[in-house]
Amino acid sequence: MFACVIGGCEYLSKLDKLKADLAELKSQADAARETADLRRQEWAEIKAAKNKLDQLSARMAEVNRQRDLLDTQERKLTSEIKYMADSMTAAVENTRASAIGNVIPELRLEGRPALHNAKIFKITDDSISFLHEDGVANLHVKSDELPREFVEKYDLGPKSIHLGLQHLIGELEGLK
Amino acid sequence: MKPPLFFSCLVLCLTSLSCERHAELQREIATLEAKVKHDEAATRQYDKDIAALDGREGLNRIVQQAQIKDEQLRPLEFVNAPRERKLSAIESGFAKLKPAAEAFKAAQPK
Repeated sequence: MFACVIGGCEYLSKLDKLKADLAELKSQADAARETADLRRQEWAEIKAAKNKLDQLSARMAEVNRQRDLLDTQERKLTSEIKYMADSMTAAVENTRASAIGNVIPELRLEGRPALHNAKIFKITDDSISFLHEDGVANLHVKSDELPREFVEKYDLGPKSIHLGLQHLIGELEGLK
Repeated sequence: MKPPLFFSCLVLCLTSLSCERHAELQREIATLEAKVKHDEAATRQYDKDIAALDGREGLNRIVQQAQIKDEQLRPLEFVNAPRERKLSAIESGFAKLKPAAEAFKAAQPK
Protein backbone atom coordinates (compact mmCIF):
# COMPACT_ATOMS: atom_id res chain seq x y z
CA MET A 1 0.00 0.00 0.00
CA PHE A 2 2.80 2.32 1.01
CA ALA A 3 4.73 1.45 -2.18
CA CYS A 4 1.67 2.26 -4.25
CA VAL A 5 1.36 5.69 -2.64
CA ILE A 6 5.06 6.41 -3.24
CA GLY A 7 4.80 5.18 -6.83
CA GLY A 8 1.70 7.28 -7.45
CA CYS A 9 3.42 10.42 -6.13
CA GLU A 10 6.45 9.72 -8.29
CA TYR A 11 4.21 9.26 -11.30
CA LEU A 12 2.31 12.49 -10.67
CA SER A 13 5.54 14.44 -10.34
CA LYS A 14 6.80 12.97 -13.66
CA LEU A 15 3.53 13.88 -15.29
CA ASP A 16 3.79 17.47 -14.04
CA LYS A 17 7.31 17.70 -15.42
CA LEU A 18 6.15 16.40 -18.78
CA LYS A 19 3.29 18.90 -18.82
CA ALA A 20 5.69 21.75 -18.01
CA ASP A 21 8.05 20.55 -20.77
CA LEU A 22 5.12 20.44 -23.16
CA ALA A 23 4.04 23.99 -22.30
CA GLU A 24 7.58 25.28 -22.78
CA LEU A 25 7.88 23.41 -26.04
CA LYS A 26 4.59 24.87 -27.24
CA SER A 27 5.78 28.41 -26.66
CA GLN A 28 9.10 27.51 -28.34
CA ALA A 29 7.19 26.09 -31.31
CA ASP A 30 5.08 29.25 -31.57
CA ALA A 31 8.17 31.43 -31.55
CA ALA A 32 9.90 29.22 -34.14
CA ARG A 33 6.84 29.31 -36.41
CA GLU A 34 6.57 33.07 -36.07
CA THR A 35 10.24 33.53 -36.94
CA ALA A 36 9.94 31.16 -39.90
CA ASP A 37 6.85 33.04 -41.13
CA LEU A 38 8.67 36.37 -40.91
CA ARG A 39 11.65 34.99 -42.81
CA ARG A 40 9.34 33.42 -45.40
CA GLN A 41 7.65 36.78 -45.91
CA GLU A 42 10.97 38.58 -46.23
CA TRP A 43 12.25 35.95 -48.64
CA ALA A 44 9.04 36.15 -50.70
CA GLU A 45 9.50 39.91 -51.01
CA ILE A 46 13.13 39.58 -52.11
CA LYS A 47 12.27 36.72 -54.46
CA ALA A 48 9.46 38.70 -56.09
CA ALA A 49 11.78 41.67 -56.64
CA LYS A 50 14.48 39.35 -57.99
CA ASN A 51 11.99 37.67 -60.34
CA LYS A 52 10.87 41.08 -61.61
CA LEU A 53 14.48 42.09 -62.20
CA ASP A 54 15.16 38.79 -64.00
CA GLN A 55 12.10 39.28 -66.21
CA LEU A 56 13.16 42.84 -67.03
CA SER A 57 16.68 41.62 -67.82
CA ALA A 58 15.26 38.96 -70.13
CA ARG A 59 13.05 41.56 -71.85
CA MET A 60 16.02 43.89 -72.17
CA ALA A 61 18.08 41.12 -73.76
CA GLU A 62 15.23 40.39 -76.19
CA VAL A 63 14.81 44.08 -77.07
CA ASN A 64 18.58 44.39 -77.65
CA ARG A 65 18.51 41.26 -79.79
CA GLN A 66 15.66 42.76 -81.86
CA ARG A 67 17.55 46.05 -82.16
CA ASP A 68 20.65 44.18 -83.40
CA LEU A 69 18.54 42.31 -85.94
CA LEU A 70 17.01 45.59 -87.12
CA ASP A 71 20.49 47.14 -87.36
CA THR A 72 21.63 44.24 -89.53
CA GLN A 73 18.49 44.42 -91.68
CA GLU A 74 18.91 48.19 -92.08
CA ARG A 75 22.59 47.90 -93.06
CA LYS A 76 21.83 45.18 -95.61
CA LEU A 77 18.89 47.09 -97.07
CA THR A 78 20.83 50.36 -97.20
CA SER A 79 23.73 48.76 -99.04
CA GLU A 80 21.44 46.95 -101.51
CA ILE A 81 19.30 50.02 -102.24
CA LYS A 82 22.31 52.34 -102.54
CA TYR A 83 24.01 49.94 -104.93
CA MET A 84 20.83 49.62 -107.00
CA ALA A 85 20.22 53.40 -106.94
CA ASP A 86 23.80 54.16 -108.06
CA SER A 87 23.75 51.62 -110.86
CA MET A 88 20.26 52.76 -111.89
CA THR A 89 21.33 56.42 -111.96
CA ALA A 90 24.32 55.50 -114.12
CA ALA A 91 22.08 53.46 -116.44
CA VAL A 92 19.55 56.29 -116.72
CA GLU A 93 22.29 58.85 -117.46
CA ASN A 94 23.81 56.51 -120.01
CA THR A 95 20.45 55.87 -121.72
CA ARG A 96 19.59 59.57 -121.79
CA ALA A 97 23.07 60.59 -123.03
CA SER A 98 22.98 58.07 -125.82
CA ALA A 99 19.55 59.38 -126.89
CA ILE A 100 20.78 62.94 -127.46
CA GLY A 101 20.85 63.63 -131.18
CA ASN A 102 18.45 60.86 -132.05
CA VAL A 103 16.02 61.92 -134.75
CA ILE A 104 12.45 60.70 -134.81
CA PRO A 105 10.98 61.16 -138.34
CA GLU A 106 7.46 61.52 -137.06
CA LEU A 107 6.60 61.90 -133.38
CA ARG A 108 2.86 61.43 -132.98
CA LEU A 109 1.43 63.22 -129.93
CA GLU A 110 -1.94 63.02 -128.27
CA GLY A 111 -4.17 66.10 -128.75
CA ARG A 112 -1.65 68.08 -130.81
CA PRO A 113 0.02 67.95 -134.21
CA ALA A 114 2.87 65.47 -134.75
CA LEU A 115 6.47 66.69 -134.75
CA HIS A 116 8.49 65.99 -137.89
CA ASN A 117 12.19 65.18 -137.80
CA ALA A 118 12.20 65.72 -134.05
CA LYS A 119 15.73 65.67 -132.72
CA ILE A 120 16.22 65.07 -129.00
CA PHE A 121 18.54 67.70 -127.59
CA LYS A 122 17.82 67.65 -123.86
CA ILE A 123 16.37 65.19 -121.39
CA THR A 124 15.62 66.09 -117.76
CA ASP A 125 13.82 64.11 -115.05
CA ASP A 126 10.40 65.33 -116.17
CA SER A 127 10.73 66.53 -119.76
CA ILE A 128 12.32 66.02 -123.20
CA SER A 129 13.19 68.91 -125.49
CA PHE A 130 13.00 68.38 -129.26
CA LEU A 131 14.27 70.40 -132.17
CA HIS A 132 11.94 69.80 -135.09
CA GLU A 133 11.02 71.21 -138.46
CA ASP A 134 8.71 73.85 -136.97
CA GLY A 135 10.88 74.88 -134.04
CA VAL A 136 11.46 73.64 -130.49
CA ALA A 137 9.14 71.58 -128.33
CA ASN A 138 9.55 70.93 -124.63
CA LEU A 139 7.27 68.04 -123.70
CA HIS A 140 6.51 67.41 -119.99
CA VAL A 141 5.59 64.20 -118.24
CA LYS A 142 3.32 65.94 -115.73
CA SER A 143 0.97 67.30 -118.37
CA ASP A 144 0.91 63.94 -120.21
CA GLU A 145 2.46 65.50 -123.31
CA LEU A 146 5.07 62.80 -123.69
CA PRO A 147 4.12 59.38 -125.05
CA ARG A 148 4.26 56.60 -122.44
CA GLU A 149 7.14 54.77 -124.19
CA PHE A 150 9.44 57.81 -123.74
CA VAL A 151 8.56 58.04 -120.05
CA GLU A 152 9.48 54.38 -119.55
CA LYS A 153 12.49 54.34 -121.86
CA TYR A 154 14.20 57.33 -120.20
CA ASP A 155 12.82 56.71 -116.69
CA LEU A 156 11.06 60.07 -116.41
CA GLY A 157 8.50 61.61 -114.08
CA PRO A 158 7.69 61.45 -110.39
CA LYS A 159 7.06 57.71 -110.55
CA SER A 160 10.43 56.94 -112.12
CA ILE A 161 12.45 54.04 -110.79
CA HIS A 162 15.57 56.02 -109.91
CA LEU A 163 13.54 58.63 -108.01
CA GLY A 164 11.73 55.81 -106.20
CA LEU A 165 15.08 54.39 -105.12
CA GLN A 166 16.28 57.83 -103.99
CA HIS A 167 13.09 58.18 -101.99
CA LEU A 168 13.79 54.85 -100.27
CA ILE A 169 17.32 56.02 -99.42
CA GLY A 170 15.80 59.15 -97.90
CA GLU A 171 13.43 57.00 -95.84
CA LEU A 172 16.35 54.90 -94.60
CA GLU A 173 18.28 58.00 -93.62
CA GLY A 174 15.20 59.27 -91.81
CA LEU A 175 15.39 56.20 -89.54
CA LYS A 176 18.72 57.34 -88.07
CA MET B 1 -14.18 -10.47 -4.07
CA LYS B 2 -11.32 -10.62 -1.59
CA PRO B 3 -9.73 -7.27 -0.68
CA PRO B 4 -6.20 -8.16 -1.96
CA LEU B 5 -7.57 -9.22 -5.32
CA PHE B 6 -9.63 -6.05 -5.59
CA PHE B 7 -6.64 -3.97 -4.65
CA SER B 8 -4.45 -5.69 -7.26
CA CYS B 9 -7.02 -5.06 -9.95
CA LEU B 10 -7.24 -1.40 -8.97
CA VAL B 11 -3.45 -1.01 -9.10
CA LEU B 12 -3.29 -2.67 -12.51
CA CYS B 13 -6.04 -0.43 -13.84
CA LEU B 14 -4.42 2.75 -12.56
CA THR B 15 -1.01 1.72 -13.90
CA SER B 16 -2.46 1.05 -17.33
CA LEU B 17 -4.24 4.42 -17.42
CA SER B 18 -1.19 6.33 -16.22
CA CYS B 19 1.05 4.64 -18.83
CA GLU B 20 -1.37 5.63 -21.57
CA ARG B 21 -1.43 9.29 -20.44
CA HIS B 22 2.35 9.31 -20.18
CA ALA B 23 2.76 7.93 -23.69
CA GLU B 24 0.31 10.46 -25.11
CA LEU B 25 2.23 13.35 -23.56
CA GLN B 26 5.50 12.00 -24.91
CA ARG B 27 3.99 11.68 -28.39
CA GLU B 28 2.80 15.28 -28.22
CA ILE B 29 6.27 16.41 -27.11
CA ALA B 30 7.91 14.46 -29.93
CA THR B 31 5.54 16.02 -32.50
CA LEU B 32 6.21 19.51 -31.21
CA GLU B 33 9.95 18.92 -31.17
CA ALA B 34 9.80 17.81 -34.79
CA LYS B 35 7.78 20.90 -35.66
CA VAL B 36 10.27 23.18 -33.91
CA LYS B 37 13.15 21.46 -35.71
CA HIS B 38 11.36 21.85 -39.03
CA ASP B 39 10.63 25.55 -38.46
CA GLU B 40 14.16 26.19 -37.27
CA ALA B 41 15.58 24.45 -40.32
CA ALA B 42 13.28 26.53 -42.57
CA THR B 43 14.39 29.71 -40.79
CA ARG B 44 18.05 28.75 -41.27
CA GLN B 45 17.46 28.08 -44.96
CA TYR B 46 15.62 31.40 -45.43
CA ASP B 47 18.40 33.20 -43.55
CA LYS B 48 20.93 31.59 -45.86
CA ASP B 49 18.96 32.50 -49.01
CA ILE B 50 18.33 36.04 -47.81
CA ALA B 51 21.99 36.49 -46.89
CA ALA B 52 22.98 35.26 -50.36
CA LEU B 53 21.05 38.22 -51.81
CA ASP B 54 22.42 40.65 -49.17
CA GLY B 55 19.19 40.86 -47.17
CA ARG B 56 17.27 44.13 -46.93
CA GLU B 57 20.14 46.02 -48.57
CA GLY B 58 20.09 43.58 -51.44
CA LEU B 59 16.33 44.00 -51.80
CA ASN B 60 16.72 47.77 -52.06
CA ARG B 61 19.44 47.34 -54.65
CA ILE B 62 17.33 44.89 -56.68
CA VAL B 63 14.31 47.24 -56.58
CA GLN B 64 16.52 50.11 -57.73
CA GLN B 65 18.05 48.06 -60.56
CA ALA B 66 14.58 46.97 -61.66
CA GLN B 67 13.44 50.60 -61.81
CA ILE B 68 16.46 51.61 -63.88
CA LYS B 69 15.97 48.67 -66.27
CA ASP B 70 12.28 49.47 -66.62
CA GLU B 71 13.09 53.08 -67.50
CA GLN B 72 15.71 51.97 -70.05
CA LEU B 73 13.39 49.41 -71.56
CA ARG B 74 10.42 51.66 -72.33
CA PRO B 75 12.10 53.92 -74.93
CA LEU B 76 13.86 50.94 -76.52
CA GLU B 77 10.57 49.07 -76.96
CA PHE B 78 8.98 52.26 -78.22
CA VAL B 79 11.72 52.64 -80.87
CA ASN B 80 11.96 49.04 -82.08
CA ALA B 81 8.34 48.51 -83.14
CA PRO B 82 7.93 51.56 -85.46
CA ARG B 83 11.44 51.02 -86.81
CA GLU B 84 10.54 47.45 -87.72
CA ARG B 85 7.38 48.65 -89.48
CA LYS B 86 9.27 51.31 -91.44
CA LEU B 87 12.03 48.91 -92.46
CA SER B 88 9.46 46.39 -93.56
CA ALA B 89 7.68 49.06 -95.67
CA ILE B 90 11.00 50.11 -97.25
CA GLU B 91 11.86 46.47 -97.93
CA SER B 92 8.57 45.84 -99.70
CA GLY B 93 8.95 49.11 -101.66
CA PHE B 94 12.39 47.98 -102.77
CA ALA B 95 11.06 44.53 -103.69
CA LYS B 96 8.63 46.28 -106.08
CA LEU B 97 11.25 48.58 -107.65
CA LYS B 98 14.06 46.04 -107.95
CA PRO B 99 12.71 43.97 -110.89
CA ALA B 100 11.86 47.15 -112.83
CA ALA B 101 15.35 48.53 -112.18
CA GLU B 102 16.97 45.25 -113.25
CA ALA B 103 14.89 45.23 -116.43
CA PHE B 104 15.80 48.87 -117.16
CA LYS B 105 19.50 48.18 -116.69
CA ALA B 106 19.33 45.09 -118.87
CA ALA B 107 17.66 47.08 -121.65
CA GLN B 108 20.15 49.97 -121.70
CA PRO B 109 22.27 50.46 -124.84
CA LYS B 110 25.75 48.93 -124.65
